[in-house]
Amino acid sequence: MRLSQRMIYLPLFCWAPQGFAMEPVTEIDLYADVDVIQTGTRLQQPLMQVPASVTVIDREMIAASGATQIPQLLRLVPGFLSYSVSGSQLGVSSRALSPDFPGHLEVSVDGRSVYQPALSTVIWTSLGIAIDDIDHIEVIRGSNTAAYGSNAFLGAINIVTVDSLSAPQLSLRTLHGSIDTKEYSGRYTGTLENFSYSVSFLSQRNSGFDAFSEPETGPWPTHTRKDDLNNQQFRLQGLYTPTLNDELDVTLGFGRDRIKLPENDVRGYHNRQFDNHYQHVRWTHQLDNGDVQLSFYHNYLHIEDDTVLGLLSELASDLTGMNIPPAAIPIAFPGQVDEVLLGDIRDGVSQRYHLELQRTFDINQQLRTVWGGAYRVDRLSSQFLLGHDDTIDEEQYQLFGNLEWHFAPAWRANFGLMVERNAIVGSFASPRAALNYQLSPNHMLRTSITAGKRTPSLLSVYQNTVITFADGTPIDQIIGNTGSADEESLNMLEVGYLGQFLQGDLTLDFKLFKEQLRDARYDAEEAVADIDGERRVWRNGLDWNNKGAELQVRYQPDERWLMSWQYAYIDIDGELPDDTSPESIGTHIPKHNTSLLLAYRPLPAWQISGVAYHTSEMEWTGGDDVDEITRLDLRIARDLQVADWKGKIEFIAHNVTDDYLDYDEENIFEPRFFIRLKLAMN
Amino acid sequence: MSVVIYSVQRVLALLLLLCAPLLYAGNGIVLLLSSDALPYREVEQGIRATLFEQQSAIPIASLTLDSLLSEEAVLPDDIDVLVTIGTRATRYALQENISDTIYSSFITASGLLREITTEKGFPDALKGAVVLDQPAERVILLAKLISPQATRLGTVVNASAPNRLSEFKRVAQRRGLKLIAASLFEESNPIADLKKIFAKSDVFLVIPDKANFNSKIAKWILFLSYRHRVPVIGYSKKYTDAGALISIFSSPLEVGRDTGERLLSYLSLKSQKAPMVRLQYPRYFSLSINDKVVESLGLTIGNEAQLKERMRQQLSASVRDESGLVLEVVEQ
Repeated sequence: MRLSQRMIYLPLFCWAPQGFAMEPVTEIDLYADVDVIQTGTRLQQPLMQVPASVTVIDREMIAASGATQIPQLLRLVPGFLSYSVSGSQLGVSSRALSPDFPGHLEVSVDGRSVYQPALSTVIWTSLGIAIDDIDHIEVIRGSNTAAYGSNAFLGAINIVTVDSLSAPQLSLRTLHGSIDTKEYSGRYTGTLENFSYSVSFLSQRNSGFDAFSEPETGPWPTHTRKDDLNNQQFRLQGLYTPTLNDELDVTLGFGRDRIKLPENDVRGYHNRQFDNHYQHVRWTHQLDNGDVQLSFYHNYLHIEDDTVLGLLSELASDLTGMNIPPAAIPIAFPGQVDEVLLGDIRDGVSQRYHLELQRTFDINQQLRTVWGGAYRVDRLSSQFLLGHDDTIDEEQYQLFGNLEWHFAPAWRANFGLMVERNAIVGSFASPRAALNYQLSPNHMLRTSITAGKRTPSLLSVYQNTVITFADGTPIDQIIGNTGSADEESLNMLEVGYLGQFLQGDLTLDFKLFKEQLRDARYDAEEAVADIDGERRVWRNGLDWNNKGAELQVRYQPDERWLMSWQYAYIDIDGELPDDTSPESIGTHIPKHNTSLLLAYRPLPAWQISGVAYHTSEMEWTGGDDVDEITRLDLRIARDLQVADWKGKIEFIAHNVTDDYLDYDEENIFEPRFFIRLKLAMN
Repeated sequence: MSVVIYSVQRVLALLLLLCAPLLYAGNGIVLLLSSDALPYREVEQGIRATLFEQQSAIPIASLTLDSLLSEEAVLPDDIDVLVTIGTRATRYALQENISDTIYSSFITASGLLREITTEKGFPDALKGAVVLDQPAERVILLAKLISPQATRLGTVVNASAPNRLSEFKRVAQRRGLKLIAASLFEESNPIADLKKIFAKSDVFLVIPDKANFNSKIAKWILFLSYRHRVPVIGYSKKYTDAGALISIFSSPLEVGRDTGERLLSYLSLKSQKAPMVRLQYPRYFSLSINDKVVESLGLTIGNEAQLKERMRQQLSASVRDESGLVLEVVEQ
């Protein structure tokens, strides 16, 4: 029997004026993931589908850790080391050597790379943000060159800041305590017509380690025995949404950061001042299928050291232990007289311009892709670093793509490729192939193979540092280059498991990995005809193999408890090439590295938390040999409510157990105590 | 003792299923899945479990649309009902007229209405459906339970796509609440519109709609909810995990179970008289609470089971059919 088309219940849907101008919602929309990781492949993927090992440090972990500086948070990532080169210069490394300026990790803030080509590293104090500005940190543990290129050679860290829409209207924070710590930070969020913004500031000061108790000797008039920090940063973040499908994010910032760099030879520090500013604009246009994103950023860093080395005669006397009178200088350097020498970087400028276009879309139900290209210019000028006044520009082109293929219900493959080209090494490609097998909705096995490539840093290719007389006549060659450079390479295989138990309360992430690193850049000693007969030279040729395991367990049975345990084991096989006696680098990375975070709320307004860290004995590449380190941090926090203000007061203790050496024998980390107060008003 | 009886029942049911082809006179049910993905398989699992528990003797088979299109599988002739699971399968079955008795499941109401609102008129082959959307009555009752003092509800819909605003407004009014909604157009400034809504709302409802599946908008809704301290009711467990206070949804298993029961009911009535075409909301549903958000908002709402029980009591007292109807087509 035929049915009529008469509907006795009116359709409960309001029909759009133009009928179905848009596809209606489908069951795929309803069951799509909302929480996603983007740093793995550039595609938005839930944790269970990311083809890499990921650690997410969220707001709860950040708060419970009691960390007072951003690099300290990275101790909560398996295999990551956070250390103090001095009281004011911080370093982070993973599965690589640990020099004063570590440089094999990509670090970005809201997608803007903060890597500094002039120094081949990240200036952690110049990020422009306070810990309380961070919403979460995504860390890719392992090479991610296929998605982000050279900088992500051994990992990628993306710091995602609190959105101006969700932040309280006004928040003020202050931290006081040991080592004369005085920190103030705040943020104001507001709305102009169609534009949401936040303005934030950070002011940090501390006196660093109680180091170099012995008086320094020699001339060194500008050197100091204190490694204090004095850092001020300002930031403006804006969000403009002109239409339903368009979003414009704008971030502008500037700051001044004064740190101290160790000069172990003279038992003191020299001053370094960074003046930075940056601009980041990102336009995202949502399409029916995926989106297109165009972004541009510019980082500017001015480096100024005010180092005065003193009279050459006094300097030479101090270094040689002999009495060299001023009259000896014209004999050693015909045509010259004894004069005061200047050292270190003066008026150095490092810049990066980066323009990028990215398109994300679904090819069909099984295939999703992201592809794009970038044009980047790294610019460096520094008489001291380069030996000349000219500016060096390095243009780099990137083409990247990732294809996710969901070829069977339980199987998902990812193929990623980054092709880069620059004048230093020409063209090179970094591919990755990964396979994820979902045993069940809460259990996933994955494996991936990566062949990563890294272009040598601008500094390691062009550095030519020479101490000269005022007229440019060379006195001592410090570090130079060979005039040629090749790309560094890495082959990585990893097998991992990610499981969720107890309705997601317990997460377990385990992986085994094997890496071969070849032709890494390092600075080796070389004989030259100068005052001391030697200099250091950047060259390729450092090879090593890593194999190991990483484990991360997070358990949060309810709102009162949080536990997060991280552990990494690594076995390294390799040697630092040296003409006389090659040195094993097996000791440069600790075999065992673990951290355990525990937090408990005995009452709704109170939280007690602690983090224990343990690192087995090691030799810091730029520092000293240290025994195994055990450190315990504790924190008690109480929520506050004063009129319209909500807040928190925290009592934080760092290293409540024995003193330990942090990177260098001068950096004796004694127990430190802090009080932090936060107030926020909506 | 009851365990023994239960075991015997299970064995009998199993025997019945094994002997089904011999006992059942018809040709049975075929499930056509939109794809082999897990949610579709879970719907299938729910349907099969229901038929098993009801000791049904109806033979049941399944195939995916891809296997049908690639001719790896063939649709049997003269089946009693073709159950299409998901939008793709429903669209294909209706467009290609592959069966004269189609029951649709695991599809959104807007998706289904799009398929049946064609120039050719209402497809005769469609005999019923279980859609995925939650009835407005259920969602608004939940809002009332989590925030008893609430008088204003907020939501946002895409003006260029079909939406359920009028249904929600009507039900809200019946419950003494005012629903304030922003209709977003292409040229709208979504944040400005959302801010206005959040400023005036006690609870924000995320009605499944194209506006709310714009990932940016989903993110901004959650951000603004923190800022304005307005609880958000989402539509999936994943939305809860992302930061909504609570979500109300029907899992694929629940939809499958409901579909199985309605299929049996349809088949038992089929021999008597051609039944009405009923496109219905899912009878079973789940709640998922984000305890962190509960705590940060300082609310006391109980757990999922307690809330669900309170909803059940109030719904059965106020609504004729808890599951509600999307629309109903009757004989002329």
